[in-house]
Amino acid sequence: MNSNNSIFEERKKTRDDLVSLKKPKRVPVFSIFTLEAACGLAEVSVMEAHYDLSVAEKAYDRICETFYSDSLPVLNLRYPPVYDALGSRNWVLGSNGSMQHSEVELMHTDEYDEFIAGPMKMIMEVFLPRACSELDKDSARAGIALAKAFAEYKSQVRNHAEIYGRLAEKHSYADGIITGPLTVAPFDFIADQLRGIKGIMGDIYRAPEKLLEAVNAVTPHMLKLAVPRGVAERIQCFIPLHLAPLINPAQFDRLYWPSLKRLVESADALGVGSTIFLEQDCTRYIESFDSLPDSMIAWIDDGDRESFAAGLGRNHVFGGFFDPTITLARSKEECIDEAKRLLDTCMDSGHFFFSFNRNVMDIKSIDIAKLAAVLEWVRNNAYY
Amino acid sequence: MKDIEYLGDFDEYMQRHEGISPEQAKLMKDSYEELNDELYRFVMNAIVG
Repeated sequence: MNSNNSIFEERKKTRDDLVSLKKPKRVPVFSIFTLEAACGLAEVSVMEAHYDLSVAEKAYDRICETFYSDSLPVLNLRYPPVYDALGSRNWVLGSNGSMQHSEVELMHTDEYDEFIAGPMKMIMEVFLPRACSELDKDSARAGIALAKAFAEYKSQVRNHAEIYGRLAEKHSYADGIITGPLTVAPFDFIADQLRGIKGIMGDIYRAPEKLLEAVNAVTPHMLKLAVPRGVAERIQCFIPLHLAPLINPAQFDRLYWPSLKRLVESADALGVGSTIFLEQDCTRYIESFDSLPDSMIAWIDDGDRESFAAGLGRNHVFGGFFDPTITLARSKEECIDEAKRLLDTCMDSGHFFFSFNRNVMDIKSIDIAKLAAVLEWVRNNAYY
Repeated sequence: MKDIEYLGDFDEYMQRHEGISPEQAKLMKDSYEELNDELYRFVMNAIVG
């Protein structure tokens, strides 16, 4: 067995033990950087990388060579050429090369009943033409635009999968905590994609019953997104939560949580675990998330680490918390000390993985050498 | 048609293809459902990102 295979096998066992809720030999390290950060490190144009994937692949490879990770440390979910073909108004490529979600109201206040009666019908016949200028045309031209965009989408998905496969093989990466499709919390779908923040905040107070019906109506679609046609062993879909910390606990309990719980439980029953990104501080909801199936993995932005470790961490895989931007303000030793404190608090559960609190999106937001040193230190020292 | 099958229901599709062998029907079903799944994810990607 050559050394690369043994590195892969060790990483695979570490990861597999973690997600099986067995205490691995050491704490796995799952770094995560976006395409924008990768291009910043490689000093190439993000714009060029979006349209020439060979540039993107070289940029990703620089991340792989620079920062330790047990799994592929890069992730790109949105493809500008697809949105170009659609004439998308809701997803727009910013001048800095990042895809940005525009605050658009795709569903009007008086359209709840129609949406509840047929979410997909409304998406295809009303919302997409509102969201995409090229679909807001006669059926022939809209059909052509849809065909172009779909062809581009399939090409991007295939090409990205090939890039990730090459990099994983080159660097002997095992799987990480996200190995399946992206879906969203049903409430977030209605809020972020259809009503907008302003609209949903009004709906919460003026029409909570309709909002709840709409959330329930769209839940089967969020489940369909979560479950791929071929379900591999230990696959984890990704659910990045958004509005959970921005609504009050009563609103969370009534409008947000029940459908999310159903989504995660239903996916689990079909063999798909959920890796949930808990944005901001969700400490007050630890008990709720702890009630989810064992297959739920929590990637945590912020919160009371001791409470997470003692609560959710007893029965679930969890990780995150580490803010990589501290490397700009602190010495290498201070940054490693911060990692040590985090490990001291969270390792005992045996279910902890080391990761950043969020994707690194801008390479200038971190000190490259110090962050690389922290990741190496964790890899070499965080043993049980 | 159920809303979840808005992009295409195979049983309805097969009503236009009478007399096909069970083996061919299975091949068509697998291919049809794979395409539908890809199309579904593309449509939702346009909304969700």
